[in-house]
Amino acid sequence: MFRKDRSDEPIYWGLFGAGGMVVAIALPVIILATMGLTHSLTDTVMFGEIILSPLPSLVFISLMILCTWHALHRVYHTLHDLNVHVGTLHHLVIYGLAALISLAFIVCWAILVFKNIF
Amino acid sequence: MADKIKITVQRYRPEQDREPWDQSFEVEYTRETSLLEALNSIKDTQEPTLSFRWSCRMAICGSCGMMVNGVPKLACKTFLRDYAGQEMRIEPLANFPVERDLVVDLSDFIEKLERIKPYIIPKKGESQPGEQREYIQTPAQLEKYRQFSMCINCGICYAACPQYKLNKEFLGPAALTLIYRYNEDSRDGGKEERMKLVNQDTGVWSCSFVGYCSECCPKGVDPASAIQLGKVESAKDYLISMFKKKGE
Repeated sequence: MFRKDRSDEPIYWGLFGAGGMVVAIALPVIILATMGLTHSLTDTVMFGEIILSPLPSLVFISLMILCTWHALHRVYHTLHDLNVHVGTLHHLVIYGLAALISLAFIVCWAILVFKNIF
Repeated sequence: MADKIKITVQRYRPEQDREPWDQSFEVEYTRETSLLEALNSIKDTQEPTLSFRWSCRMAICGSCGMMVNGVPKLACKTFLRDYAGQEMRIEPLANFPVERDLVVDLSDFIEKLERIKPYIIPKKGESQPGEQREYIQTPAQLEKYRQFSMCINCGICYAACPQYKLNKEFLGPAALTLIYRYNEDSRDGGKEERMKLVNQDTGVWSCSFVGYCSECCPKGVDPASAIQLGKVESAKDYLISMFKKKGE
């Protein structure tokens, strides 16, 4: 997993960058668009209907997954700044957690879609 | 009329002192007095044993880097008028071992500079050994790296860098900036060789984009942006290498 000649950081940096973009640009647009569609953020029933339908929920869950990778990448590097020198264990725990949360999101989405279909 | 300012200098003489200590001086200054001139006047009139490096007096040689009130600066480009009404505290450049007074040991930085091959490596097959000819470059090609070629190797970005402070294996701002400068030069053919250093954990990936190097750089080089651009190059290189591996 760890290679001295080449860092595997480009993968995590890519996900981190994508997550950052999502938080800064896509998320506000989606929230505003949903507000526009429901005419109110307090109309939770309609908001739920929109966000829980298959396609919007897929978009929403993809965004959440990218946010997760962004946040945990930050945690990983902040550990280093706090003088906790990160090694294989930190790497596995933090990015493993990101992978687990991503998996949980995907499972949630799958359950949702199946519930809607059947 | 000359004003006065108190300058405290961190002293360390390895043959006499167990640890660094402070010595304060009163210095007269005018609008034009630089910190380097003030240190020279201290050495000439008050404390002849005070040691510091300097040469050109005009922000070209990169010798007189030191910490001024905790901020890494060139002494020749720092003016006492900007500290009117305050005291000044001068310490050797941070993140480097102190040799004596304000003189630091820059060998780690120099070794890194050598390692990155900061010179134009001719492209393979483009010229014969010993052949002398012109290598034409357009202004647009020059503009791609011009800003990053302004580095004077003063080491101030290393004193500013929190990541270099934590891990001395990190190649550091100036070396990575110079890698980018030569890689982007249309006459250069050494990119493949240098990318091996960029791609490592101790290359661009040790940088967490704090950006203080760019804030402190006395030549406006902006090393942080060169490193970010280097990350993009390294990420591209990573993707390409994945496909190359499969093809083999």
